[in-house]
Amino acid sequence: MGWFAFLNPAFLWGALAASIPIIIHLINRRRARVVRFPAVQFILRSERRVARKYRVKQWLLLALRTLILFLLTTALAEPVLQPNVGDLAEINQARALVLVLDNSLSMTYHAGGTTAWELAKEAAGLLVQELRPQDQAAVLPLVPAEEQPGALSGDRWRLSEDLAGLSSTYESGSFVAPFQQAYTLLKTSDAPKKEIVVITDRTRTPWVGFEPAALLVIDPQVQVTVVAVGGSGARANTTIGAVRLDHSPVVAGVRTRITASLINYSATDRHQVPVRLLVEDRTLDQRLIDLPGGRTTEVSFDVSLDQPGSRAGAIRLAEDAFPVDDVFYFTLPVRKALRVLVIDGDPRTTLVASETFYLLNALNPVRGNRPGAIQPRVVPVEEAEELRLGEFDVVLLANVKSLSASFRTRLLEFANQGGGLWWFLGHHADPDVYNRTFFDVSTRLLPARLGPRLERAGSHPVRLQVEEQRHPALQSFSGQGYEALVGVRVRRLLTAELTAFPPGTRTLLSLPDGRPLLLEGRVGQGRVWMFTSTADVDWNELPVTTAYLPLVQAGVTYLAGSERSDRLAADVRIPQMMQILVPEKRREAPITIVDPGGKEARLFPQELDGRLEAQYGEAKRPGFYRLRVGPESGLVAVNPPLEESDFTDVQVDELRDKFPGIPFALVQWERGQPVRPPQVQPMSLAGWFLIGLLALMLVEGVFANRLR
Amino acid sequence: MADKPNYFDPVTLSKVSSLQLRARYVVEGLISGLHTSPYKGFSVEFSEHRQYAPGDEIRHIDWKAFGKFDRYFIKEYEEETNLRCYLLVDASASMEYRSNGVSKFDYAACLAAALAYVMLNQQDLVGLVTFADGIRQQLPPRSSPGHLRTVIESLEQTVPRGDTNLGRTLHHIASQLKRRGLVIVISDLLDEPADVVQGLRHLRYQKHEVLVFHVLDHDEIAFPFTQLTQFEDCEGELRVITDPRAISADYQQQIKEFVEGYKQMCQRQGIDYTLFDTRTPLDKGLLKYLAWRGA
Repeated sequence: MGWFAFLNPAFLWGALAASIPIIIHLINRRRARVVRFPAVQFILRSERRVARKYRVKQWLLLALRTLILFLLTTALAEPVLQPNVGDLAEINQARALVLVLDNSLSMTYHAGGTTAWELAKEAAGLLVQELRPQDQAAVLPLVPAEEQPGALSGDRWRLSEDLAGLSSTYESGSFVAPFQQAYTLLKTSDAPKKEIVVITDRTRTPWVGFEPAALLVIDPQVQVTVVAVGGSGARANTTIGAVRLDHSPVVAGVRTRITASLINYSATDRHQVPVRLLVEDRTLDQRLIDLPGGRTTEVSFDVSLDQPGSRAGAIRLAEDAFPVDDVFYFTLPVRKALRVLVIDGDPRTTLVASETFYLLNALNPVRGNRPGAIQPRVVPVEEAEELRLGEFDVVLLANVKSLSASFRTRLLEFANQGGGLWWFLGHHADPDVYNRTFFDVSTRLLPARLGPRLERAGSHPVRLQVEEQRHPALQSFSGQGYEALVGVRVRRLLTAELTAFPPGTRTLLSLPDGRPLLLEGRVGQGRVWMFTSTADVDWNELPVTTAYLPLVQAGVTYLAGSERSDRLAADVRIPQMMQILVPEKRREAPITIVDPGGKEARLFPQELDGRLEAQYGEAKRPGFYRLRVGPESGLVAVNPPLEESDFTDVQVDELRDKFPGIPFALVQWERGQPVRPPQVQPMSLAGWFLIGLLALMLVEGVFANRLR
Repeated sequence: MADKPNYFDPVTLSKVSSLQLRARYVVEGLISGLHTSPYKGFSVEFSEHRQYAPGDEIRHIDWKAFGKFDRYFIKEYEEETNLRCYLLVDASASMEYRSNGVSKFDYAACLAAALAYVMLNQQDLVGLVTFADGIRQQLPPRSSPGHLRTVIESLEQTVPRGDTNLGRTLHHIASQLKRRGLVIVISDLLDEPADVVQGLRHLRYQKHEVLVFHVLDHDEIAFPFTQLTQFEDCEGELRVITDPRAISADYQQQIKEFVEGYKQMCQRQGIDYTLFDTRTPLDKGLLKYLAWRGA
């Protein structure tokens, strides 16, 4: 049994009109004209005989007319039958409604031939259609659109247009800002019923960090309804969490390893999933991988790229219900191999006894004839003087006794043009000779004047001081690597005169007493390092520690200038800002950015902390963005936010706890069903009342005609 | 040229204040339309003595009888005429009802005056009795030309009032009239029909010729009322509120039966019965009389 109610009860006052026929009857009766008539006895007799029957009919007619007016006014009051027990008086109250649509990336998950986003728009459309003339509403997206509604509107057409204008995004979002705005909008309304309806796929991500208590504006009277679309429970999804390069930049012609972390967010295992590595849209390799549920699995590809430059790489998984995260874009910077000339000042007949044995192993640890990222060539001093230095990127001088004047001049030219020099000292290095031929001359090749040899007593390791921890060549030392670097035993070294450092010279490593072990200086465009001990184990034990190889490789790379990325910007994930570093020589040049859709944008760099930098925040879709600054160009890979790949549902209790003291409801909506519970959809009886009204009018017409 | 007023129309006639003129218009209008004169010759002889009544000519007072009885007696010289007519005009309150400006009494008076005019012009004797619940005024039959004035003045001075008791009046009249003659009853007959019938039968028993001119207002016949109406009896305390539409058909049926009842009874008694609606032209009554007279 339902409850009877009226949507426009004000019209019930009109029911008083039902008394009009009775009033007219009473007035007519009171105003009955008086006639003095001779034949009253006949009238009296007729009255007794027929008027009673007539009067009954008149009363019936009067009742009919009264009922007609009553039905008319009650039909105008829109009578409804409320199926469920509820506060019937509230049915007709004006409602202010803010629809918050989750348009984050996770809403593009495919299920049942559609996406959660399409379902969300459909559900929102139904809610807009349900609005009555007295209601007002606004539509807010989770990820803000360019134009946000500034006020509630009762215009259903406009709201439908707003809704149609919304689209899903590749971004993640939080419900904090939309709720803030929703409460602010609702505050402007004096409607007795206010409601925020959130239409979402119920993923946890947008609710992380959401606390209504932290909002600036909140109204505990506002009903919060979460409409969940796109199914619930475990939604299978696999994605690529990250891609790692063993070496970056990759060296042309050198085999390198690309490792992708594959995440299976669902509880069930996936077997034999095809994973492809693509470079410039060409598949270079493919694997079939088992992905255990709820775990991360790594897959590696060994590749060799021939040409230097930036390459567009991608790891692509077999497409699943959420295809956006089944491809991961990354930039592959490829450079040519470093050629290093190692001048051995103390060559021996056996390789192990040679000064450069450890250096050679550190520079090219790869066995056999396979090319490495660093291609060293070891020669004695005499042979070195015959070589063309322009073929090399870095020259290492290990325990060299002396160099001819012409070679010194060539070395100076080499350094001036940007070549790197790295001095290793030893028993052949006489400080006087070195100072005289390499420092106190116009062709200065040393970063500092050398002092006397220092013999350290004892065999205990000392703790080195890393003076320049942020130095590009030392950044890779952390944790155990750092301990290995600083905990070495140094038995002997040549001191550097601290007071005679030329401008630009700095200490990178030093003994606890401050004596430099590794110094850096500049010669023209070139960088010069000096290790004040030996390259082998004669004076120290660094070559037999795990720190030696990375130190040598990082040092050579640094001295060759290859640590400096020629990339204009690093890869980002949405919604990170793209930070574009502009070379000083391109100060005036505009930055042109072409997004994956071919849309072009222009920026101008600004000086920030001594660097020319521009920030681009419009990288809102995954893919490769092509950057151009003057003649220089580059690639930046943009990937969707990883958190959107996690389809773990937020639990009902968890949501309830987020709205303490606030009326809250969670509705799981399926296509073809009403969004709201049936009790707010009362059955209208106005039509039946009008039919009854017409029928009564027909009867009244016939009846009145008969009486006439 | 303006149309000549229709002086048979009761409404038109009602605008003529003088009843005598009205009677004359009716009669002259009618006679001018007839090609043979209705008037005939008369002879005169002594009839009887009767008490003096106002209007009697003094020269007719029998002074010998005055000397003998010390009271005025009129020595009636009755013309030897074809007719001695008694006009019985109902002057009860119910006759006052009017729907179109002419009350039933106006109509009856005009009709009586016209009849008197015609009869007196024929040297017939015309008497007048006005009655309600009893005889209100009585003029003995006369044939003198001045008697018309007396009759008319009497009618003009009569104001309808009181209940109708036609049965008793007819009995009374019947017992009074010594010589047979013509009795014309002009009334709405709104009395107990059985009593009225008894009275008429009494007159017939006395060998009188009786004409009944039944005068009813148009409203009484057609009952044209539509609104809720409180009807009050003209002669009593009866009152009833009713919707006339509800009872109209039944009322009309009753009136029809009422009229038919009188008509049939009159027919049985050899009484000439005529129904007059107050909208009926007055010449109808005269023609009826003349037709009777001619027969």
